[in-house]
Amino acid sequence: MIVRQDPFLQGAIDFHIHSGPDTHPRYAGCLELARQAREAGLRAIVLKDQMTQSIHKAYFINKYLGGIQAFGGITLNRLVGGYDIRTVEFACRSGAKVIWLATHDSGYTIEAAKKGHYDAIYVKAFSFGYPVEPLSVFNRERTELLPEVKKIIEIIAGYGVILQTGHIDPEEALAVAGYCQKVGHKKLVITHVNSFLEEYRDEIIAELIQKGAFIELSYSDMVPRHARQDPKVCARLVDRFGSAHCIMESDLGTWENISPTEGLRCFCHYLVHCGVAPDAINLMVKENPARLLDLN
Amino acid sequence: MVMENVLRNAIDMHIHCAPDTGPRYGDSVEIARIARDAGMRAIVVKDHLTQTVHKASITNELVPGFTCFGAAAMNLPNGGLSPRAAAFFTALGAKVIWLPTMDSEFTWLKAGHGHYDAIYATRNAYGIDYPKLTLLTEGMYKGRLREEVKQIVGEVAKAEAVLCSGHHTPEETIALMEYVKSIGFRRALVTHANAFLEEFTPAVLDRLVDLGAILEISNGVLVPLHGRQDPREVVKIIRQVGADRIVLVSDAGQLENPSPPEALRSFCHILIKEGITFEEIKKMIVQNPTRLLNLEPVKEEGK
Repeated sequence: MIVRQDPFLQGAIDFHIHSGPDTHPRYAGCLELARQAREAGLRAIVLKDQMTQSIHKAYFINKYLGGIQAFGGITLNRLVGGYDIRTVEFACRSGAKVIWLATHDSGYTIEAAKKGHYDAIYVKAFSFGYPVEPLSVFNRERTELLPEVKKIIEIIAGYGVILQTGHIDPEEALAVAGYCQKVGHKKLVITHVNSFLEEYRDEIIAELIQKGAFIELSYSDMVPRHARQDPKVCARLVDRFGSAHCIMESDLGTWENISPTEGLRCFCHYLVHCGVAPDAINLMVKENPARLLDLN
Repeated sequence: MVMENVLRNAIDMHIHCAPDTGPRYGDSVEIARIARDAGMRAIVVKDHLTQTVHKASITNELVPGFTCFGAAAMNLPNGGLSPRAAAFFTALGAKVIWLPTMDSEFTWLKAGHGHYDAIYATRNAYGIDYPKLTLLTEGMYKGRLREEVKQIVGEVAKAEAVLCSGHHTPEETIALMEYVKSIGFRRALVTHANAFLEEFTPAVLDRLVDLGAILEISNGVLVPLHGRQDPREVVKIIRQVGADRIVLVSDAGQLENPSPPEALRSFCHILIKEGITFEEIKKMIVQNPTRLLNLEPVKEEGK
């Protein structure tokens, strides 16, 4: 699939792409998606898998494809041991650039799925028919972060790896942001916050940003089979909180949707139509992610 | 004198490769190329702490004319004894599932008594203390096979993948193979059965083979830095249970050891020097792995 060479994509970074091989049908394998992104002018992509690491995929793209930088990481769902210190140490030593806290196995997502959030599709698919014990970063009383979560944040901070909040609830995110601030870890991203705006209200987002977090805006919430979100919602977030604190990404790679690179391109143009300045878009799709990924 | 290439159509069911956190001989693409050029048909790549299906899939895209199979070992960073994880790995395309290796209680018991596995158990722990896994309800020696282990076996059977026993006591391994037999599953391997001969006595091996298990015999036990096993020990096992019940593997890929195809080639020739026939060797590196992995039999078998 050829993607138009668009000025917005020249040097752009897609911070969140799903790729094959995976158990869920994907748009293409990781090598193919990386090739498309490279040909469209992207500088880097971040690959995400829900139930295993994506570090090896990135390794092979970087070694055998070239011309684009791929980054991998790991998502701390149950199938990698959940909030497991050794898993995080393993991932960081393997070259992880991003660690996501629990996504489909988080209590927040499991509850949201029951109430009809589109994530229900994925919660069910990734359960493989087995019951899933929901993950929380809190102790039972929700008064404090689990010791292993604190240790995980310390390990991540030590390696200079980006921490993504995954699908945790706003109180969890505030506690995680507070601990990042305490240990001086500045690479914190609130994963596609536009997916969770019912609970992530403005005052919470403001507090997260005040604690040093970036907020991630995802195109995936706008696609027909997901939330069908009005792009004005993201434009308003940019206007309200400032592009200096935002990152744009596609969160695509799902089979039935447009390609990730094409999605990112459209997302840029939609926001322009909603009044976001092209300079602000470049900041959110190029400079901010580059800084977090330690690229020049 | 022109020697027949012993590796022609061979399948090595146990290879370690980069990327990994420890130093490796090469990555899966590099090793697949060497194996293909040596005349081999396929390899199975194994990591201890994550799945290798991604590696295998990408390798197959980049190395035509050869097959690399992915696997997963049910250690804690792969979900531990989680049937859901086994369902995920087989759905992803894993062709082999190992029960716990580095994270088993037996590994750490043996490591504590000087077994060479201490090198790898320590390396994969990263200095972190973590709970160790057993297959029986009351630990390594007593109790019934854990329900979650039965469910994992069920997932492997459903996917027609291969089950490898991992690092466990004879009691655990026998209970496992009794269950495997009870459900009529026929693709179970005893992981490097020659690595723990103090416990895996001839009587234990006989029992496992009676239950239908195939014994994996590893060259890794022979190399200088490991068990320095006398190859005649391997010959004894082959003579005891017969080549029909054995798969020979290199278990290589460590930086300091020979390349996996070279290790397997040398392993085969050393066994031939010790009296194993060429035909027996081909059973153990061609026919038996071909059947276990559900592949089309090759023509010219036995040559």
